[in-house]
Amino acid sequence: MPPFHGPTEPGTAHLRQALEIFQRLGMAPDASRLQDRLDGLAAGMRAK
Amino acid sequence: MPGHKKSGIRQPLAIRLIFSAAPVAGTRLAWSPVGSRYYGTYQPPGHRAAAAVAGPGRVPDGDPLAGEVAQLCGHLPLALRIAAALLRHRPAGAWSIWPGCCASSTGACPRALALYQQALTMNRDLNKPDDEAIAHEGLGECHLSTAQPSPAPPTCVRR
Repeated sequence: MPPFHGPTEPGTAHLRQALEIFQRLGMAPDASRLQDRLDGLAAGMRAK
Repeated sequence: MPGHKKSGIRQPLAIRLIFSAAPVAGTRLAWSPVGSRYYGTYQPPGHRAAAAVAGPGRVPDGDPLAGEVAQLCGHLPLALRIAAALLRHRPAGAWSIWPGCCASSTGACPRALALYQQALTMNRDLNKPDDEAIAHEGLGECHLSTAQPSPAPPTCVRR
């Protein structure tokens, strides 16, 4: 996933941290939810 | 709030927030005694077993205080999460929430950010990676929101 830049960076950085932890813990639903959120943010950034 | 009496003070032992992001009407807040200290977290149904701590069956249906807190939080997921972050680290016998802040602002409310940061630090120290992740998520959502911070909110304090 490409890194996010701009004002959303602190937020996405935290979300990526959370995603990493959920994945490490095998918490698939939470990881999937966060992945979807990050994908949505990435799509939003690309659209701008 | 369920708890035990000690020195004449009703002390809630633990709290667990359970909410559903959608529909809002499905928002639930519940608590249960866990150990001897506050324990607050949020739990999206379907993501983790609700019975992990005490089970929903131990939460009295229609508990008026649970409903009151949920109402003060506007039944908003982020509000409940902030309330959970607050409740987690309150000393036994007293807890407070800032429903105005929680309910009216989903933005980078300084208080919310501070609370989530505190929760993050504490959960790291307590080696609770799942709750650490939740704190990260809360911080992330606070940062991502473009809402303006709300003015100083009313405070609800239980003692």
